Amino acid sequence: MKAGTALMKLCLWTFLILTILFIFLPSFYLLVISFEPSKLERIPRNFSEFSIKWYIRLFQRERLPGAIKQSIMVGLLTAVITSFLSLFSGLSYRKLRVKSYFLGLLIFPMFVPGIIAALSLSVFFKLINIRSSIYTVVFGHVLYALPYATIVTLVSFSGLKEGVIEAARDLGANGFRAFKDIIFPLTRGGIFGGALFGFLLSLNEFIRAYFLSGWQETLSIYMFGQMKGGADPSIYALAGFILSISILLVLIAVVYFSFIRHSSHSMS
Amino acid sequence: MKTKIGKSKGSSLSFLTLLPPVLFVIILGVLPLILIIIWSFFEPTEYWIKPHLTIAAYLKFITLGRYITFVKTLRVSITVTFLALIIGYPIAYFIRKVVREKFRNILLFIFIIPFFLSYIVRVFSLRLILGRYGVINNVLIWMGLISVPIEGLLFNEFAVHIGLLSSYLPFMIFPIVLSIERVGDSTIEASQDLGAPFFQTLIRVIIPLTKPGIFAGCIFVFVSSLGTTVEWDLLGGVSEFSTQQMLESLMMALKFPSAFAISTLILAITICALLLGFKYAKMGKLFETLE
Repeated sequence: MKAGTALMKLCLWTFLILTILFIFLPSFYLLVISFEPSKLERIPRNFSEFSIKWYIRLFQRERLPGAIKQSIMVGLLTAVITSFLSLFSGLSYRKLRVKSYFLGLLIFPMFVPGIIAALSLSVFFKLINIRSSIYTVVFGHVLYALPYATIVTLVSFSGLKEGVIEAARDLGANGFRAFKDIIFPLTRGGIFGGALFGFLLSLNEFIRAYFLSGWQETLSIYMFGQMKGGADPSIYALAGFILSISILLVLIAVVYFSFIRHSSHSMS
Repeated sequence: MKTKIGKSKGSSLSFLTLLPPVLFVIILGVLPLILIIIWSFFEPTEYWIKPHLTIAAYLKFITLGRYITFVKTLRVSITVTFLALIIGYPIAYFIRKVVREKFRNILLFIFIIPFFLSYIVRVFSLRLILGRYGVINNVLIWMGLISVPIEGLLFNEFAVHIGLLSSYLPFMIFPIVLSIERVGDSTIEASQDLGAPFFQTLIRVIIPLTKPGIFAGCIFVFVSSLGTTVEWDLLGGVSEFSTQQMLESLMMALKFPSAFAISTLILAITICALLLGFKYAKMGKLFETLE
């Protein structure tokens, strides 16, 4: 029996690692290939062969800086609006009686197929005479990111004890003061987490941006066009570039959140 | 007295903070869907639609054979959902119930990362694995199993399946982890103490108790597969055509009612799945931890 469970465990570990490789290995492989100087689709033969040639060539492209700027704009706006909306949800959720309906409505967009959300929003904007621009993309992206950000924010608010806020009120703090000194410090992890979700989901989103952006292309739209079109190896550099930005942001977030956790541990 | 005033102030304030997110989702997330459902029964004009009720768009769905693509897309999405469940369930169980806590958080974090990476890049990178000069062919040739690269790995339905699975597997894992969390260790131990072998405990106790997570995961994967074009565009090649690409080209050709009719059908399927999930699988229980 004991040997059987050990074997079972080994099998499950192997299965798990294979699955993780299935999810991550292709992207990692692409990242390595983007440093191969020749036009071949291969890993650089030795360390000295690693070259950023394609990355340099990439930034000589005319349309790329515009697309990057567009994407950062959209991402930042999405992050700000999303975190404000989910903060509002967090604040009202505690006192709500019809919690499940509220939550159900807020996470409903998660269950709408991306292309349908994109298509319906684009004709809706057309109906009310709003022309496609990066702002219509922002609306689409907030709708996309809001369920994730709401869940992250609500999780952080669920750790908030009502008594702490009441104590602050009893000591004479007004609503704003209670928020600034008590609620925000205790829930900032969730609020920033929501903002991060907003930025990264927006940066990497394609189908909504494609339907809503009009002529102003985002990084994802630009990249998708390149991938469908050509076999120029700088496409690997472009993909590697986007991958690196996302990984960097995730790493920053990890450091930040472990910092928050440590500081809240020392507080309590 | 003072607290009373404070409280009533608080609740009117909480009503005010409630409004922005609720209005946002209703106006931009729900209303447009209702509009396209209604508009799918309108008549097309040259550039837009006019309010003259007809089911022409749905008839065209049948007579022009669009349903063939629709059925194929549904089949692929269902297959991918099923595969994701088969792979995702043991992983979720393993992460939540077998692995030590320290590893558990690391593993959960690993499965969050894909949400933050570009799915276009992730799908595109699969070309480097499945392609003619890709990793699989290179490895097989190096091992001496084949001498000529296999062509059938990329630009077909098989590759689309792989792409969708790689994109949406994490969506299956998280809801199941959440629902397994709700099954107490004592419940599993009780079943085993009564003499049930693990497999029987799994079938009789654990799986029924984790139905909310299974349903939520399946709906996530299914809906995401139905809503994406990237996997079909980048891995399916020219021979594979999906409903999503059909929607794109119908919108491009300004054939609005036809596009809306297909969207309505997809929405109908999604909403049925959601109703089933909430009614019979009690999916709402998944979010109770937030309350």
